[in-house]
Amino acid sequence: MFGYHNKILIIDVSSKSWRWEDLQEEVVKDFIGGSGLGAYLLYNYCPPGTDPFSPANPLIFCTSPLVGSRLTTTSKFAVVSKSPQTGFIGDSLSSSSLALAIKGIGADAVIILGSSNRWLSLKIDESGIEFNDASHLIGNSTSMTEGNLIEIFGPDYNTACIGPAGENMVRFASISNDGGRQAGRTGNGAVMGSKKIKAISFKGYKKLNYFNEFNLSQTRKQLAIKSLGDATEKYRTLGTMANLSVFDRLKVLPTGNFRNQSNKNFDSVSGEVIHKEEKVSTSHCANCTIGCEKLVTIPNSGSAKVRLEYQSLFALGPLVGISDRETILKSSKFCDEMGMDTISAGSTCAWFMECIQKGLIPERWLDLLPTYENDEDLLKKLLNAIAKRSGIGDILAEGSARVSKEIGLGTEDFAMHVKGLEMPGYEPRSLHTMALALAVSTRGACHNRSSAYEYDFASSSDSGKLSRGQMVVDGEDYSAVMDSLIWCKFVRKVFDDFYVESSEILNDVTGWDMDPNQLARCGERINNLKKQFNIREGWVMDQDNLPKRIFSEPLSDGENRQSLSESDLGTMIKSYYDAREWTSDGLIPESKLKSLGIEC
Amino acid sequence: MAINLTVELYGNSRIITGQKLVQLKFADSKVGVVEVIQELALLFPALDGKVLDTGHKGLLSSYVFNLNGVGFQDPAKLKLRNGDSLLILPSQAGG
Repeated sequence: MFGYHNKILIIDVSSKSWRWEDLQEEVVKDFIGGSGLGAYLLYNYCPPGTDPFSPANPLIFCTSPLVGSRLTTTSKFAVVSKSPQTGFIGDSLSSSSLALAIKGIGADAVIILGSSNRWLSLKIDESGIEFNDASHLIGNSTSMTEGNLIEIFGPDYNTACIGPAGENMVRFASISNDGGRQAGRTGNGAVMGSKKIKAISFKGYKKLNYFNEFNLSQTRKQLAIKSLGDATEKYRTLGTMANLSVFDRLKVLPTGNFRNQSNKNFDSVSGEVIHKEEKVSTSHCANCTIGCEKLVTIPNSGSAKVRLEYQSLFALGPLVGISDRETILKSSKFCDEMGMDTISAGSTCAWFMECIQKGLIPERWLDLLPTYENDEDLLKKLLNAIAKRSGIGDILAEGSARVSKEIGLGTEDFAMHVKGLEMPGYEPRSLHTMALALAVSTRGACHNRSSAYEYDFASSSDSGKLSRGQMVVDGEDYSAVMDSLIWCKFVRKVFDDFYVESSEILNDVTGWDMDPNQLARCGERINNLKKQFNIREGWVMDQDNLPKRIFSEPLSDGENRQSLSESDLGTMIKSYYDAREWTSDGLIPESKLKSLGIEC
Repeated sequence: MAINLTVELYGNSRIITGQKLVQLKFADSKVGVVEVIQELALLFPALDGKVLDTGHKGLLSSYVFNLNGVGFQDPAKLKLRNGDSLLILPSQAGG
């Protein structure tokens, strides 16, 4: 098969053994790769009811047919497991040379099962796997770990590793690769920590053939040129941090744990001001022409730089009510070094800071609280405690959903999560299509698996007469295809007709004859399988919801009132289930599964 | 009747001009986005081809208009009134 190795590497770290299994062409024709293939493998390799920290929970790294094709932005991989935050499917994407190295060993996917009784560092290349002792790496930050392994194995190996947060099984721990890029959401770093794997280093150069190399070479050039045009201008100039000032102005920037009552001015942490007043350089993933990554030199920290994204800026700044730039930059860097998802870390701290302000901390925990001078100092100490699971951090490392449930006292109403995954920086009371997408997403409060905010930011004439349910369905299916091929989301506007162009490219890679409708159908199939996994793992309709604060506390800026009622959300959810052809309870009828070729 | 408008610049348009806000005054009340674009092109030639289309009829596709921070509308249908704020925002919402 062109574009694929047709092989899955299955590693058992309990027995320190491995085997290869064939990957059938029918499977990749249905689920493609990346997030889609990962969902298929999770469904089949994770026994029903598995605890996310059980050795039976598979930790899956998936490449895609486009990895290695040298098409712009395609050096990406997905990490998939049963999420310790949600108990449902957990998938996150990351980028760059590691994707090439994983595919280079001859694997389309790597599945890690079992759990070691001592800390391991895995060294994987075309000759086999070494299960090395990693005790000397324990406690090291992500950059130190990567640096140490480069010294030991040499620069040809690319490493995925966890930091102290992953070692301590902080439920929102991330996996870091290629100098600080993060597979950030849903806690895959905690799953890696539960298996006692500190790092996995890959080296491989196995070549693949492509069905129509001539066409691909033309496409490479055309896409590279188009990727430097208007469609990516924001990402190339300011990166995603450009969102902050815009969202602030449009009143869709959540502040103060979604209370949005802050009198603070967040101008000083806008992308424009950071760009003007700090030293900012640009970095690219492997084979990417866009260069969205903005590395900001942190004031008073020598030459230390942080890879700054809007979501980190939001979660460690406005969300926690902090506008001090140095604090935000240092906190973001700290999370990356400890290997923690910045959104969940910031949101959990924002929730806890509100509990402190309201005097809702249980007496039994008061002795665990750090002493602090101000909010900036408190944030720094909470993040440090969480990463190390020391003092109150051992509790907060469970995330806002679990801890608020333990406290009670109404704190659940302002724990800003969906299904256990904390919310990103999009205000659902103003952005109603996004509100629906956050509520129904299979991985919890997620902005990346639907891009539904695009409908809210578009003029009404652009959306035609689609119901919000249909908009979210279309966005989710489109995103599932992007995340499976895998394209970077930032290249999406480069395509004139995404499904037509992507199916042609996929056919040039594989030699298939997939038409655009069949490719779109893959997106639908992938989202249905993800949902079916969640149903198998105990999903109930009540979990398609938003935190109570969203309904009970409308936003007001004097003249305008932005609100979302529970019944309005319920109506939108119904329209989503209808558009998906699911039952009114959000279950997937047998006939629907059959029509998509999903066998459960 | 003359009308006064505030143009708010975001993203690279702010970086290029070094301005966050630009106050514009038009003698004719029937002002539309084309007149605003032409005025901006005169004031900030560096926006040409980077934010404004070179024909000065509109914005490049990397930017969109928003009126008073409350809604995204088709530029051709925008009715500008005295005291309005016209926002020029990056069109890519993701991140």
